[in-house]
Amino acid sequence: MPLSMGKKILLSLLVVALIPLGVAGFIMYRATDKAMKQEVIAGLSALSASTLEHFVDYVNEKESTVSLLSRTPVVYKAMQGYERVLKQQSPADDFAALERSYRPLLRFYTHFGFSDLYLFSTRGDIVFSLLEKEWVGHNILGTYFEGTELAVVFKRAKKSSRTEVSEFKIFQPTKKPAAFIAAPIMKGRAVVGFMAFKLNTVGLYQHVKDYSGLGKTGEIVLAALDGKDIVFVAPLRHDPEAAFRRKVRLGSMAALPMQHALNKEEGAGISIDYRGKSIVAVWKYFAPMRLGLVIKQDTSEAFSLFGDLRRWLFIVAGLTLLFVLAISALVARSMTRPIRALHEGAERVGAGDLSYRVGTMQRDEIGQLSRAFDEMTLNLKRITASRDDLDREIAERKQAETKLRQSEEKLLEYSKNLETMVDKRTTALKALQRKLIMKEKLAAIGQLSSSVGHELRNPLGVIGNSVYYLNMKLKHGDATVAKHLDILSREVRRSNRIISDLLDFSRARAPALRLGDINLLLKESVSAMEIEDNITVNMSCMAEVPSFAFDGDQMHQLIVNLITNALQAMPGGGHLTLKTEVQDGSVLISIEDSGVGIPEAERDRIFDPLYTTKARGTGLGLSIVKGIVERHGGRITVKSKAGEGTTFTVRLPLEKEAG
Amino acid sequence: MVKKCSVLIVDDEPGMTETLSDIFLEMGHDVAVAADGFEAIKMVRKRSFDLALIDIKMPGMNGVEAFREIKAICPSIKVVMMTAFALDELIEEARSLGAVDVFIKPLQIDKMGPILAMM
Repeated sequence: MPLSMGKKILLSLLVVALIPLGVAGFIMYRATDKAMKQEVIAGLSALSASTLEHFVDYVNEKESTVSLLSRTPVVYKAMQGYERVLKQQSPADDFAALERSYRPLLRFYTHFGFSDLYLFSTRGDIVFSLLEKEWVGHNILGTYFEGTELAVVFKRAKKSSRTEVSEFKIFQPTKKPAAFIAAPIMKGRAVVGFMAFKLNTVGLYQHVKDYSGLGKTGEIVLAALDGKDIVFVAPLRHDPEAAFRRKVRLGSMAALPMQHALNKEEGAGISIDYRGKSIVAVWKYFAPMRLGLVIKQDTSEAFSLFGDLRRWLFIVAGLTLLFVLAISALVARSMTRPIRALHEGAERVGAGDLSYRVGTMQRDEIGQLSRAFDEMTLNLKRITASRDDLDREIAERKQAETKLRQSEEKLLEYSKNLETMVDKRTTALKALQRKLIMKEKLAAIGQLSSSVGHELRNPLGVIGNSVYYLNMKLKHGDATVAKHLDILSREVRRSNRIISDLLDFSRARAPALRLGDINLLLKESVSAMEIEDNITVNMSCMAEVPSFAFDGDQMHQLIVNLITNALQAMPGGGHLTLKTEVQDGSVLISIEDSGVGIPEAERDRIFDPLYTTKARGTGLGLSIVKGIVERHGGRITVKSKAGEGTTFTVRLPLEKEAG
Repeated sequence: MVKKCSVLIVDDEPGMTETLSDIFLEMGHDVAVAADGFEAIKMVRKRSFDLALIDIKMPGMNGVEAFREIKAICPSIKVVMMTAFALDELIEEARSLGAVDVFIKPLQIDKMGPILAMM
């Protein structure tokens, strides 16, 4: 599995930080270790040197003391006296005297650090012994003392005629460790006997037990060769009963420092002691007594400072490791966090969330990258937005295109129908134009006819009056004159009717509606008209019509106009049929003639004002009729057949609509 | 035989007054003529008339105004209005003021008979 970037950074930082740290620590550790050991060994060496000096001084002092005492006249005299007694050259009472004279003094001598005192003849006979009185008379060179250090030191003193120091060994006669100093007793330049002191071990051991500068585990070891063993000759700190009891084998690890010392070497080293503990030891040879001196200390104590140091070193190293770890983790996080944020941003943006911003204030490269990323996202958003706009525009254009296509199709369709439509429109326009022209024409006619009509009525009235007067005067006169007066009268009426038509047409006033009986009106109108005898009027088909609202005058005029037309259509006589019927809330008034009929081509125009097919007539009659019908909310239709007659049907509503 | 009446004819049209006065004279009535409303009023103030024929449309004072004045002076007078125009408002006013009838010119003189008979 590949390491994550954070772990890589962490690991590399650790490696970079810890390798030098480890190397430096190791070097420092080693240097400190060496210096420390050297320091400890130097300390121990100095201590051993002074200890050895103490021993040497001690032995030298005892040696000097012995030399001094051996030269005192008291010793010589005591020597001579005791020798004589032994040789029985002196009487027994002399011995008592000797004892009295010398024994206290000799005993006093032992106070200089000795425990026993012996006097020898030159041949080796023991002439005096302070404590071992039974030895007196025995020769030191005899078998009893053979091999003892006392015998050895006697021989050496006798041989050298000087003060000699023995080794420190178990003294067989007493089975106790002992060391002796022997010195010749001189008379002048002649040796007359020998004197020997047994060293007080307490004095010797006193130095051994001085542990100052040796801490809690350090000790001074005095050792001697004992065959194949090395024997400890002084009490040990860790074993007070060790003297001449504890032994170690030559060549064993525990024997090494002492072995070196007994080989008269000086040195120092690390070893294992009799307890099996690691020690640092310094060894020296104690020549006067032929002993090995070893000063040693447990390494645990000797190097305890170093142990502390090492502990501190480990603590510091550990803390440094932790610190480095923490810093590395922080650095790694500070580096990976923005990367993770970037990663998240990339995923979010990839998922389409273009409003996502990493948003960092960092000034490093990752910060720059984040800002560049944000900028990229922003640009992407803009581009997407403009793309959306584009898409929308495309969609709109497509829509427009579709519409255009549809329009084109429609246009094509229109163009196909255009001709028809144009024709239709042209027809409609022509009709409209005709109507407009007609309307204008009518308006002009209306104005003109109104004023002309009124003005004509006065002269007509005067003419009428004149005719009336002439009729009064010439009533019973000439028949031809009477006929002409009638003609005048008739023509005045006709002129007046023309004027009335014109005026009615031009006024076109709103109907004054009053309830009335249409059948009655029809009958009255017919009876008021002058109908020729060759016309038969049929009014048998009159339905029962309820009273309804209409303008009586206008309706009268309507009837008169229609009947007039009917009569004019039947110049040679015929049938005039008037009918009423009620149908679907309307009243139908039909006026039927058996006249010439209206040609189909003219039927559309007969209601147009001023249109007439007759030789005489204003062409306003049907137009007026149509106006009246329309102002009453009705309709007028015409059915006609050439040569058979015409039927006008007026349909009027019985109930006027509100308003 | 119709009773002899005094008739005042008021019209600004000389032909009209002349022919009408001839007709009424021929009928045996007493006739006076006025060319406008003011003259008619003066004449009514001078003497009484049984019947007045007054044209509605006249210069200066229209027939209806003259009618009102004349009626005020001589309440017993019968008035017939004449007009060549369909002046609906004036016709309605005249009727409401008590005109016996309104004749549209040209006049149908025969219709005058019943009115004269009432005198």
